[in-house]
Amino acid sequence: MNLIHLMSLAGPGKPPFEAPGPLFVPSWFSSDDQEGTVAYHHRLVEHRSPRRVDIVWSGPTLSDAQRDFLARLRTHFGAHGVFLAIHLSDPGVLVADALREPVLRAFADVAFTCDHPRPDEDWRTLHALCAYAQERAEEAFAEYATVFGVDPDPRLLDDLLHTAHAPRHRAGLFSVLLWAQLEREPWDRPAFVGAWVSAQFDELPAPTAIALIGLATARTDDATALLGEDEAQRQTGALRHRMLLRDGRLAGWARWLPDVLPALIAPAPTQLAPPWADAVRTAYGWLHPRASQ
Amino acid sequence: MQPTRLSAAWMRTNAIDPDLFVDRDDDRARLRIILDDLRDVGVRESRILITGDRGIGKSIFTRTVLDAFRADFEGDVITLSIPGRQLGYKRALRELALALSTAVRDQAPDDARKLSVWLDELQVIANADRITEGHIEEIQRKAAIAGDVTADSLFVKLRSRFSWERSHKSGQSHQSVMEVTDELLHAALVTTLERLNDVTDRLVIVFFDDLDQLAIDDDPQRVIEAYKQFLALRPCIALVNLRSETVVDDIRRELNEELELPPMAPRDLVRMLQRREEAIAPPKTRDALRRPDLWRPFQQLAGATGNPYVYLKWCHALLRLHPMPPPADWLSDENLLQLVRKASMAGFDDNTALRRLAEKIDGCLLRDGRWCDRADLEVGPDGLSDEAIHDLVRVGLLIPQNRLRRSTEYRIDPLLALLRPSVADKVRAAG
Repeated sequence: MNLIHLMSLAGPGKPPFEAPGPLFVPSWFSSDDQEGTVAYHHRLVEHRSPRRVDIVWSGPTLSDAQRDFLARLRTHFGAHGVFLAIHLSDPGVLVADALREPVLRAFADVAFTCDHPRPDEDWRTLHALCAYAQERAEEAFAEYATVFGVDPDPRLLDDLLHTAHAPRHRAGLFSVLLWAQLEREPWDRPAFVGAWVSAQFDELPAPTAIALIGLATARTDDATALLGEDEAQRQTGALRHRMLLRDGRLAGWARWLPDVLPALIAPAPTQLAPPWADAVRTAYGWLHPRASQ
Repeated sequence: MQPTRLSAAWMRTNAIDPDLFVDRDDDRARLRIILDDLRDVGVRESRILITGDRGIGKSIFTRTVLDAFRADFEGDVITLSIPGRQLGYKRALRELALALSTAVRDQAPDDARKLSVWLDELQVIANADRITEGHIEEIQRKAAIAGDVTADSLFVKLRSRFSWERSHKSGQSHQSVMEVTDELLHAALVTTLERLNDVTDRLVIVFFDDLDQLAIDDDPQRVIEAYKQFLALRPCIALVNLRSETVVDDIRRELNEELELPPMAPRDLVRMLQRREEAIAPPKTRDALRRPDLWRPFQQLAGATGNPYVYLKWCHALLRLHPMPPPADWLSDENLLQLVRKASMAGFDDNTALRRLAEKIDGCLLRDGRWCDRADLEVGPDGLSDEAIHDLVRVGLLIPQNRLRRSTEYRIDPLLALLRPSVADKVRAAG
């Protein structure tokens, strides 16, 4: 039940959204979350930038044809007429390079998505979007709580919200709390955290899930053996980039992993695709030692 | 009496509505005297800088004074605002050209009639990347239809200074084109302001809001050059908002007046909150807040900052977190951490790193003011790791002096200030 839909947390009558800069959506967001985040940003600014234009930046720089196209767009529709969604597919392009591109600077509303992590990613606008969605979700939550005569305490969500980096997840957490109240269920914190961690776990690529299970079960050597040295190193970087690992300790939602009932965590179908299927089964077996015996 | 949950939506941290403005009577009077003086003496050119920290209320302050001035001298002044936030240099010039054209038409229709063709041409320059003979013919045809055959032309003025090239292919023929460069846009604005000065007695006031937030460059010298170019747009009265930390001597030399908005006094911050409560808060919240003791926590928080934006965010978070009156331990370390996290809503969950950051910054700031050296953040057994610093910067809780280059100096998001031991102690002592 999605009682508070992200896209309803925008539109007429809502406070204006002010971005501290262009939006940068991390590469580890699922494609749905990448698109959902960009679409939400666009919805918040579409009163001034109604047309969305998508560009794929595939080389080290924009092509001349792309620059010319963008210059014409700006001339025709103005700086505020177009919402630009730029997909960076070249792993060598830094965020700073993209932000220095003069033809992009001519537009007011720009969002970047990408296939690969960048060392200089700037998540300020992403988090401003999350904060905006959270504030609006809280307001919608309070309104529903009054309408349905329930009195849940939104503070129950606070520490979970800090581990949610996608606006959809911030709104989604309020939906789940509201639904639990409407069903008159007693607040079951472990079940709620378990469901949240499990949902996040499902979105991890197979090798990242293996590396994370290795850390959570103190079997990093076994995880390295499954992944191979190079892949294991890459995945350590990926976990750091997702802010699930900091200074050698699990962080974000991953820090609850050791407390979550193993039964709540099972491989997602996408993680069981080749070539990692066997390794995934083995790693998940460390969470369920009895089942793997 | 039972603690009550109150609405928080009425706090409106980003309002620039002059109706919600309070206090700063002395500063308002100072700026007003400057504007009145310029008008009385007939001086039509001046650069007035309004500085202060981010969130200190420069925009609402300047708007309030400017709105009142325009209301008092309606018909005698032409005012326009240009928000610099996230605009590139060229785009800011284009926006300014469009705003100037619109302001003259809306606020001085008699002058606009004299400059009809000129303003049309300014709009073409603002919107196009190159001017063609077609543009000129179109405007001349329009002027002829309107019987305005002797009209002044901005294109003619600029033609003598910028080269036309017969290189642009249009179908089978070639036509003359003039590229709309930064220089041409700038010259078009200056020439228009000069022409306006010739044809009207009205005072032209341009408000450059958040000029420091232009998306110009990471090279400080080029940023300063861009500021100077804006200040060279004359003749007009220019009101310029810049954060204090971005003002350098090179800019100061270009200015006639400077007015720094100081932090607001605690009682004025509370009055600002009361103004919002009276104007926007729902009846139930207004009724509840009749109890003077419920204002006590707001008064305590007011002693911890002079920044209205930060104060409103904290008060908003307080109402979101606690029923009023809040529990007796609302100023415990743990509750302050929750309040700050609620105010910032950043996705960073490492409480230990946040506390260490605030303690480190406290040590630096108590020593020498504004910025903290990276080495000071890393030093000692409780120093922040490279990974923690990287993540804090990524989510905007730790702010490098220069985001596009590797920076050695940092400050914290002011919303975290309540975690600084010296600030928390001050708030507790005010209880």
